[in-house]
Amino acid sequence: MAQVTLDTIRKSFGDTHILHGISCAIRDGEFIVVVGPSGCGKSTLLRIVAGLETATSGSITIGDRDVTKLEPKDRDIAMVFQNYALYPHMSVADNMAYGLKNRGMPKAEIDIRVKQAADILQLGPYLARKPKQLSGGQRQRVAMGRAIVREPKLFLFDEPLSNLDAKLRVQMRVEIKKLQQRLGVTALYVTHDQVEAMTMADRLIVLKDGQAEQIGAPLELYARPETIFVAGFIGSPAMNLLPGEITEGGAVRLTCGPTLELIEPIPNSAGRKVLLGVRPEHLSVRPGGTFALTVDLVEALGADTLVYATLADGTAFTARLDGAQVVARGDNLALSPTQALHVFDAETGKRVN
Amino acid sequence: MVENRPLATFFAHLVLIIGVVIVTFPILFTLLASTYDSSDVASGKVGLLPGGMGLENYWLALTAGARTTAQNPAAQMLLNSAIMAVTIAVGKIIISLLSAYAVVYFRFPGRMLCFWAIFLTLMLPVEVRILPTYKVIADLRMLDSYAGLTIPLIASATATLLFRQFFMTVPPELVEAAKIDGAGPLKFFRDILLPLSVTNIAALFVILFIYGWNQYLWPLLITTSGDMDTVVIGMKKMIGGDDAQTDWGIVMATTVLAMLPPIAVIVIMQRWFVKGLVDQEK
Repeated sequence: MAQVTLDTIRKSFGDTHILHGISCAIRDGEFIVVVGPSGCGKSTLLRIVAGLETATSGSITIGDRDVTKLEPKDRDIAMVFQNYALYPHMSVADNMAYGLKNRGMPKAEIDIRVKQAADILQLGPYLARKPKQLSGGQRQRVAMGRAIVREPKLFLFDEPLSNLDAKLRVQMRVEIKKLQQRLGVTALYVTHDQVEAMTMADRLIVLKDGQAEQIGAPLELYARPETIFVAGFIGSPAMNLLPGEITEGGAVRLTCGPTLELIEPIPNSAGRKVLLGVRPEHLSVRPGGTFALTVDLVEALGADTLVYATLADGTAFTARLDGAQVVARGDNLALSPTQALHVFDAETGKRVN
Repeated sequence: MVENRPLATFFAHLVLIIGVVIVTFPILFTLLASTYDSSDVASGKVGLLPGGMGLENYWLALTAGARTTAQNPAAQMLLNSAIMAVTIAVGKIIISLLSAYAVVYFRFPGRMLCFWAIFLTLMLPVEVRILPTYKVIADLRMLDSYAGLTIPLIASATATLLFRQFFMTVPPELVEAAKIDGAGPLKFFRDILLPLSVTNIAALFVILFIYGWNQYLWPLLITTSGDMDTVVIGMKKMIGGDDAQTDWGIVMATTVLAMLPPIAVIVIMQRWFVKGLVDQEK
């Protein structure tokens, strides 16, 4: 258990820059999720923290030790891989014990730890089996077991759930989070799945093209995304982003027609090009509402109904309405935003209001 | 596919049976001939039932060798062959495991050069480089020795390539997991790579043992004294100019003896082979 500090970590391969200086202070016992689209450098970041790759510059501290130059085995970490990376020829017990054996731990203590881990993960009956005799979820647990027997200072997870089917993924998501809370070990978790990110994280790092777009608690990112990228990435379905410009009065006049007043008008920016963000779930049907749209497709999920529509000028628009709302293809709807709007600068992509 | 055409089944079996007879007949003849007296073999009196000289022929072959030609006991020659075949097989496997490990898992200057150098030697069969190799062995005073018989045949491009291809299919995450588990390069090799390669090693051992056992040209060049003869060379030396000079019963007995070890290796290793196939999953 320890706090972990990443200090301006950069990584380049020749002229290709993968990471542009990532910094983050992770508190003791915190569950940090690094999320971003594929190719954003999130796995590279994790591998640098693990010591499987070296950073071009920057430093990593785990606990009170600077581990930047240390070998993976000396960093006191444990890692769970996407494909589990279990040793195929070893039994479940041997898989978990291997790291401890290499550290020269007495056999009696290894047995105790493996037994404990097996109890926690309900792997008791499978200890003598080989990995290929296990199901995907069980292999995943063995990989977890291999990590927890070590009692490391830091857990690293590299998209550990992406090889599981949807139902198991939800179940393991809960299990991993519970386990981490119970053990109180600091964790760094990489995923491209924003639902996983939102549900598991204490804090999120949203990574794009090797840059941390925003670091914060899931709800903070949801409520106040700092950039267009975060706004579009967090939340499902994605936020509607409509082009427009700021008026003399500090309101936003959309290219598609309506002008929206903001709770706090933006001063001294008349004519500035912006993107206005409206979450699909922050809309309600109101006669004469701001957005007049024609429904293209309806997905009734029961609790909610997702409406895919187009605005008068042909811009695509998504809304998430109450499940009781009966909507059909071809209907004309008028929607009004119910919550604060997000305004981003069209050029820099940064939040304005 | 379910088929029920009796005529087709009949012909299929007929063809297979003819094939089996053609393949097994020479071996059957050798077995039968090894139980007859030499003069009977020479005059074509070998029947379909074993003769009465079996025990005597085999005993003579093992302890004394052919009476009329080179008098080398087969026991010594079998031992020579076994030592040669096992050393070549084991040596080749060790060398190629290590070189494939180096080529696949380590970044060092000239890595690809090493790989291509190994690869290119594939194009040079033993016969092409036999004279320079002979010269080297002669200068090193290794003629008529086990070292001379085996060392030049140990370096092996084929096995190195085979292991390289296999190592490249081992997921890289295993290496990384091992690194995090605190296993250094040698430990990773011993604890993880080697157990995963068992199937390949078993298959290669079978192939290489037979390759070593059947070597003819190289032992013929490198050995001159009778007690370094391998059984393949020995058999050739046993056959004289005509039937009167050739102790056919003993020759046949020696032939049967020479066939046994490769068969034994195949039978024993096959079990490992299957075990490896069943256990393995990457």
